[in-house]
Amino acid sequence: MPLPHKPHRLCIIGDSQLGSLQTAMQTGLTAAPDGVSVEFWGATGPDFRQIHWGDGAIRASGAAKVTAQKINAAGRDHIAPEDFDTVIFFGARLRVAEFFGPYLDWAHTHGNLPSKAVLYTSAKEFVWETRAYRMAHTLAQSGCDVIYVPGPFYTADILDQTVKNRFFHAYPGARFGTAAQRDVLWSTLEAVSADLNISLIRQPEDTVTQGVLTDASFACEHAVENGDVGHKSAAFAARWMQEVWPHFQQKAKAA
Amino acid sequence: MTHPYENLGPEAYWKSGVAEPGAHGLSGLWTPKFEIKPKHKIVTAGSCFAQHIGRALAERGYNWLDCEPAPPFLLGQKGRDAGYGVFSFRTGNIYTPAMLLQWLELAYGLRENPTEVWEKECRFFDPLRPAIEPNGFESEAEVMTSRDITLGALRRAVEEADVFVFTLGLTEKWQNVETGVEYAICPGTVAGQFDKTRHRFVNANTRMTQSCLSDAMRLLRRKNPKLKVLLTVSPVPLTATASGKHVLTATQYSKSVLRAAAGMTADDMKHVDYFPSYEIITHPIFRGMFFAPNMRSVEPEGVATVMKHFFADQTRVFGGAKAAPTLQKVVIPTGEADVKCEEELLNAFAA
Repeated sequence: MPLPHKPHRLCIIGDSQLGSLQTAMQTGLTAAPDGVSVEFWGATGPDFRQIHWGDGAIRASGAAKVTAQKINAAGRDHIAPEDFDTVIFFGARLRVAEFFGPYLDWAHTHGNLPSKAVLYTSAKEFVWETRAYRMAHTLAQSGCDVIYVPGPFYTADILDQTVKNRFFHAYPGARFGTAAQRDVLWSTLEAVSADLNISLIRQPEDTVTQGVLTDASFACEHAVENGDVGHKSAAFAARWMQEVWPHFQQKAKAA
Repeated sequence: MTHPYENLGPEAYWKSGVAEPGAHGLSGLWTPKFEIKPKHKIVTAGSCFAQHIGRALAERGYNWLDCEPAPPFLLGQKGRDAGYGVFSFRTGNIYTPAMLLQWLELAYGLRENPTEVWEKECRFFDPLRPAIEPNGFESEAEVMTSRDITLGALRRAVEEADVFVFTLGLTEKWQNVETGVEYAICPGTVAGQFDKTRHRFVNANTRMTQSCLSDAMRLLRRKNPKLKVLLTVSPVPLTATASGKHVLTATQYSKSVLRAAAGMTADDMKHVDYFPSYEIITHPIFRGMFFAPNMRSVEPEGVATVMKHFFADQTRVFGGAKAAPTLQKVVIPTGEADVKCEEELLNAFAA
C-alpha cells in the first residue's frame, strides 16, 4: 500500500503586510497549491525588532511573541529550519521603495542607472541592512527553502507625495522611472538574493504606476482616511502570490 | 639712486623669506588672485593629489561639488573603490592637460567619442579610465553608457562651479596612433593589449603642455564665463617612466614642464591662478619630511601643511572666511508604512 504523501510544510513570516494575504486566502482570492500546509507567523512592523535569530531558530520575544503566537495556529514562538520545508518572508521590513526611490531618482538625474557591478554592490548593502533579510539568509544557510516577497511600493493617490519629507519630495526623479529601469533594479535584487540562496519575487509590473508607486486600485480599506500608503488590499496580495506560487511549486518539485 | 630691489618685502629675499623663518615659519608663499569662499562651488580634478585637496576643502566646510555622487547604498570606501566621491566626476585620474582637454572636448561634443573598449577575461574596460570599475564593465555598451553619465556630470561641474581646481600630474602618456585618443594608462597594464604599431608613447614638452592647458582653460571659460581655475602640480613622483631615462630624472623633467606650463598659463590668464602645493611638498627646505619612506607617497602632514598655507594665504589677502552653512539633511519618514499596522495584521487574524 503506498504511503500517503507528506504535506509540504510552508510558513509565511511577515509584518503587517501579512494581513492582506491572510484575507486573500480566507476569501479565496488565492490559495496555496494542493498538498501544502500553511502556517502564518510574525509581528507588526514596530514589534519586528523583537524578532531575532537565536539558538538555531527565529524567535520572538515581548510583544512580538504575543502576536506571533496569536497569528500562528500552532502557537509557535519560534521557527526552526527543520520545522518547515519552505519559508516565505512576506513584507518583513524589506521596503524596496527605499531602494527604487533613490536609484530611479539617481537615474533621472544622471540619464541612466550605474553599471551592473555598482548596482549589485549597492543592492547587497541594501538588503543586508534589513535584519529580517539577514535572518532569512541564516535560515537559507540551514538548508531551508526561503522565498522573499518584499514590502510593496507605496500606494499612489493617497497622500501628496511631493510634500516636504514625502517620497517624491526626496526622490523627485523617481516618478520618471521606466519599466526597463525597474526591471534592471529587480533583476539585481533577484541576483543578489539568489547568491544568498534566497528567491526574491518582484512586485508584479502591472501593479506599478507613477514610476515607483503601487496603483491606487490596490489600496487597503480606509487608506485615504488613514493616510495609509503602506498597506494593500487582499486583491493585491493575491496578485503578487500569482507570481509566488509557481515559483514555490517549482522549488517544491525540485526538492 | 633707487633700484627695483630696494623696497621689496621680506618674501622677496631668500634670507628673510626662507632661511630665517625656516620650513615651519614660511608665509606668503601664495598671493591668490581671487577669493575662494566656503560658499563657492569647488570642483576638483586631475592626478591623485587633487583628491587630497578636494577632501581637505570638504572637511573644512567648503562647498566641494560632487556632480557624480556615489549611487545610493554605495557609501564610504565601497563608493571610492568604484571611483565615486574621489573627484567631482567619475573620470578617475586625469594626469595630463591633454587628457583634461580631451575629456572637456568629449563632454561638449567637440571631438568624436572613441568607441575603443579594452577587454580582459570577458569584462570590459574604458581606456579613458580603465581603473574606474575595478572588475570591469559587463559589456561594451555599459562602458559607453557609464561614460555618458560621466560626461554629463563633467558638463554640470563646469557649468555650475565657481572654482575648478586642476592638479597636473604627468607629461608621459600613451596615444592611439590612428585616432590620437589619449589613454589614461598604457594599454596592457590594467587591461587591453599593447600593440606597438597602434600605441604611441609621447612625453609632452613645455610647449605641448602649455598649449593643451591653455586650450582647456579657454574652453572652461567659454562654457562658464564666471569660472575661476586654480592649478596645482602634483608632487608625487612617477611610478615608472617609459622615456628611457632614469625614473628620478624623468620625474624631475615632467614636474619641471608641468610647473612651467602651469605658471605660464596662470601668468597669461586672469581667471587662472597657480597654488604652490608642489613647492610646499618637494622643496629642499622641507627636507622631504612630507614624503613616506618610499619618497613617493605624500603623508597626511604634507597635505595638512599645504592646506594650512592655502587657507592662511586666502585669509591674508581677503580676510577670514565665514563658515559654510550646514546643508539641511532631508529626513524621509520610514514609518509611513507602519501606519495602523497593528489593525491591519490583527484584524485579519481575528476573523
